[in-house]
Amino acid sequence: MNILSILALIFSPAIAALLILSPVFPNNEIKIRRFAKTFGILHFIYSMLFLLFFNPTNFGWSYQKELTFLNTSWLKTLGVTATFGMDGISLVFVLLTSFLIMIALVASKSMIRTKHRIYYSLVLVLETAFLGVFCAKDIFLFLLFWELQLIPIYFLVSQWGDKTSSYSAMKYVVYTFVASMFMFLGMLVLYFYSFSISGVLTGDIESLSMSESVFALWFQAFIFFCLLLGFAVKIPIIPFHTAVAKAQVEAVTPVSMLMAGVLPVIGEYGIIRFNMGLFPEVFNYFAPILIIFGVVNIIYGACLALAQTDIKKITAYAGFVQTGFALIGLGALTELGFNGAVFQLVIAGLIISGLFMVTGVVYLRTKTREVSALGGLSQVMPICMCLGFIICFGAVGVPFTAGFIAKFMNLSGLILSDIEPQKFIVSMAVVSAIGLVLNACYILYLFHKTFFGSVLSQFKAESVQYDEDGNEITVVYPKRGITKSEIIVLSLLGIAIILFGIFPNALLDIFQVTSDVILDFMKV
Amino acid sequence: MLEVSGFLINSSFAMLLLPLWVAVMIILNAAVPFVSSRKLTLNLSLGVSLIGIIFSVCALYFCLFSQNAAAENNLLWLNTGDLRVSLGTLVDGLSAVIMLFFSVIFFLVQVYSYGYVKEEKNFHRFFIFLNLLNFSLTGLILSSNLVQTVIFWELSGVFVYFLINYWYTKKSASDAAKKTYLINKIGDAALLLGVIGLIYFSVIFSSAENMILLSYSNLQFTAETLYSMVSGKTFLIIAMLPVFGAMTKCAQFPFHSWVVDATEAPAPVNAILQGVIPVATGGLLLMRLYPLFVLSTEVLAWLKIVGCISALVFAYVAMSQNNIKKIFAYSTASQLGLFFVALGIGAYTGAGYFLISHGVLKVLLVLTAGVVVCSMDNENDIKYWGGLRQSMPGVALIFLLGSGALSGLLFSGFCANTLLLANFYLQDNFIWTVVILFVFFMSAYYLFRVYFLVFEGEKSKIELKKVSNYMKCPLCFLVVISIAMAFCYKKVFASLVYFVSLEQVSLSDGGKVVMLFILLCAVYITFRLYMSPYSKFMLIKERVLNKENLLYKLSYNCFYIEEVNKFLLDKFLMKFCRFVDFIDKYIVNGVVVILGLTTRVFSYLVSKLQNGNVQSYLAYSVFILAAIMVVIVGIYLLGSLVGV
Repeated sequence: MNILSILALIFSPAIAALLILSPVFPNNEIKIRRFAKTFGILHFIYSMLFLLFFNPTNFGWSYQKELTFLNTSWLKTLGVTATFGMDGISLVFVLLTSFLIMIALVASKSMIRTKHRIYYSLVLVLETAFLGVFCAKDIFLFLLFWELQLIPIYFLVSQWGDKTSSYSAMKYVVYTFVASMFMFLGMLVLYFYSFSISGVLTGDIESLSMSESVFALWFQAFIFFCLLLGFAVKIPIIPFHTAVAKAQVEAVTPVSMLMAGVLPVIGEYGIIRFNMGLFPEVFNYFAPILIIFGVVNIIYGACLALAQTDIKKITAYAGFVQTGFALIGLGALTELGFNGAVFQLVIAGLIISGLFMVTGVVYLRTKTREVSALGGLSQVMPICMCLGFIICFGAVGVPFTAGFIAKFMNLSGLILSDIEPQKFIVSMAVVSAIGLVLNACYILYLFHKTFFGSVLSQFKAESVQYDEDGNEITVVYPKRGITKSEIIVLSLLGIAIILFGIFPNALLDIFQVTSDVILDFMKV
Repeated sequence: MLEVSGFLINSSFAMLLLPLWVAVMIILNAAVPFVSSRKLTLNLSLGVSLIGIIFSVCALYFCLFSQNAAAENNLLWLNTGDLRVSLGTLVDGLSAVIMLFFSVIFFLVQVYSYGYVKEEKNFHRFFIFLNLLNFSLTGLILSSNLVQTVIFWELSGVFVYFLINYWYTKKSASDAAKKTYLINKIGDAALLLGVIGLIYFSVIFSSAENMILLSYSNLQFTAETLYSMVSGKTFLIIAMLPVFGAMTKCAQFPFHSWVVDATEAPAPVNAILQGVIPVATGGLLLMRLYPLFVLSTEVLAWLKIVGCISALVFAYVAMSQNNIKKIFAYSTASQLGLFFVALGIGAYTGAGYFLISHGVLKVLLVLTAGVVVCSMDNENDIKYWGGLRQSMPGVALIFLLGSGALSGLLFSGFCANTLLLANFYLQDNFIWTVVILFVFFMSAYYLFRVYFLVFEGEKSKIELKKVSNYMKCPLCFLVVISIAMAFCYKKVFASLVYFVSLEQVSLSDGGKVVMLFILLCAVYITFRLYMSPYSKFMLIKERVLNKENLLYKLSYNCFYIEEVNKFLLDKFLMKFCRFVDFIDKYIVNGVVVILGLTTRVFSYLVSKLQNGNVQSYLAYSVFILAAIMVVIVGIYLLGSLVGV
């Protein structure tokens, strides 16, 4: 198909961002917002076309294309080319990213009040960075887009967040940057050693592979852990989570949605593409560590969430628990666990951004995030509660929502694993089942504290409040306590969660062949 | 007739999806502001239940008279990796019987609910969730494999949560809903883990492509293969996990508190929780997995122990309660304990009959209590009641018949209790026989205590409200069902629900007389204690039924189990979580902060060297050069010393 150009898919958001920033564009917030929203929708439709013409039985990369400058490759002398392509897993994640960006752009309407022009262009630049990571076929291209994310994220968190958000944005960027320096080191070593063996300078992911016969295991393990550190901070794997949690909590809601929805996916995509794809032996060796990390994420995250009193913090830690399930699936090294992990990542993106949206809607109206100051909102915001419950039960993992399928696949994938000793696997499975119960505990705690009980007087519709100077102001809620764009966001997420819960194979069939290829490679 | 039932059974998927469709229809009905009609909602739900009754009668007919004992339909649902999960329906004797019980009871409960909530603002929501519950329980009862059971099992928990949460502005109701869901979630997780364990072995041992994963019709074979393949300990763990699941849904010993708290829910929901849910979820699962359990004596022993503790403890607790709803909740836990013991002892058919009979009678009693509570303006405490027989004789008669039947004097309750007793007695186990007789005695005591306190004696001063006929009619039908059940044990039930290797027994006339004698003794003692001021009994009453008496206190406070649970949760789990939070804040985050600070301090010190004096810059470079030379010379000397 000629109209399906992967370059257009990746770079069109950046071009749209430039267009918004350019002086030609009218400086009218409504026009900017509508343009960005329309672009997001069109981009999602365009990426759906890629799914439509995708051949799921194709083993290699589809839609492959190289970006050339006057018919010259990028950094040709170094063997580094700007080649993009997609396989099944990339495609699923690209769709997720495009969907979440669209959702976040729609959600921005009520959440963003200042500096529209810069805000929307930064979100679109962020989209380009996300898509570039998923489609890059070259490690240095991957790194370029990986680092490119930090710039928009820094400004998005610091400029539109809470009062202290510029500190947490700085902390997040420095923390991630330090970790990605280790990743960069690992990639450089990989690149030069591959050159010393084959005599060809190349950064192509498929040509780089470390096999035991050439390198000592400790040497491979060193590079493996360098790369893993970079990914671990992105996901985040506990104990590297503190900066991420702080940034997610203090950012404005659409940005939190994007950070919690896409960044874990990017991190685990890195693990799949590099740690699994390039170091099969080492990965086989260290897979139990990944399982332990996953279980720690589940239990530690759940305990943290139970101890919090800030609804947004509970949501942020809930995200760590969800990614923990994906980690145990990855570590299990079975087809079921691997598919479950990819499925869980997509679903976790939907669920956690949905939970952030619900807390964001509540926060926007009540101006507080403390559970003790909330309660009884079911009577003023019934629609928000109904839609929120779909997402809530998706997070708990109720059957016929996608959360159940994902958790079921990950747990059974873990049990089916061949990793010795058997006792370790069984005990990990038992602990993560306990995590399922704790997971339900804090999510229901969050919802009950927010929505049930008797309504507090200050939240009653059209009640009288006093602002900081003591002047009387009347708070009038919009009809039913929620605006149209918020309803659209929450119901789209809810529909997606239920849809994949009833027809899981609709999603699984896209990437099953790709995961077969990766796992076959692991077994060699 | 056989063709008709065959056709209906083959279209059982439609049966499964019908309640879901009705739920959607009710949502549409409720959404249209001026047209929405409450009668239409009721008729739709009743219609779907009626179709359910017709279906299950046909299924019963099919199972009794058809050549093949079971009919199965399956649909591949989730296919990835080694996992091939099917959704399907299996109509055999057990599911036909339970389906008939469920659809009849559900029909009556819906009629009752109309009377109960017809004035409420959120009328439609109640029926939406009733239909969704109908959907999930139908899927559970007709489920063809264990994975499907897990799916619908968890789904039913969610809809139960929403039904208990019906009055969500009431804090006690929403807390009870949360508690119910979370306690059941423990069982869900245990069941899920057990099923995943079974999946592991069935994937490892069988390579057949088109087999239904963990199909019930193949379970006997799976269980025997598993038993011969794995070690005893592994087998025990895998078999025990589903038992934990059943224990939560059947409100057995450590997991009973939800059924007590859930009495905050509307009366019809309460009836479903105590009568229908244990039959359709926990009871059915235990009976389905019985081929697995009989292979291990430890599992059977565990069933016996858990059941025995629950039966004794909760019967004892129910004897002193004053809240009528809580009495029935504890009674449910106690009676289901007897079901567990019966399964543990090997009385498969008897246990099944007892379970269903208990379901019918418990629904009858809870609904009757609901009528009384409604007419008393939501006063639950039986101490404030009395003499209601004069004002509502019909209800009093029904309650009397219900209590008599549940305690084992009349109708299906009598049959069920004699069956259990026969099985216990013929096991040559004297202790178990004594235990069960003791539980029967206590049950008769607390049931008739309620009757005497509520319907006899002095008339209370509370003014009675009128109760709609929609709430009274189902009660009569339930009594009729209980009578009818008494006659169809041998011909229908025992020929449908049986376990091949276990023989069926019946009680001799002498045993029946003994049982009746003991029950009548209990009734007599209750009568004496609460009705006639006879001196000796009053003395006992003052001594034993005294707030200061330890035995009474234990019973009244349910052995302080709730307090212990609360203590464990507050002092242990929450403390642990706060400790983790502390570690996260000050140690995990602290390391990051300290690293940042060190860098800052270091850069501050280095920046102090930058003072703009050319002389000091020159001095630094001389120092650094000297240092480098010292290092080089040192290495050279070291090398020559080693001898390179």
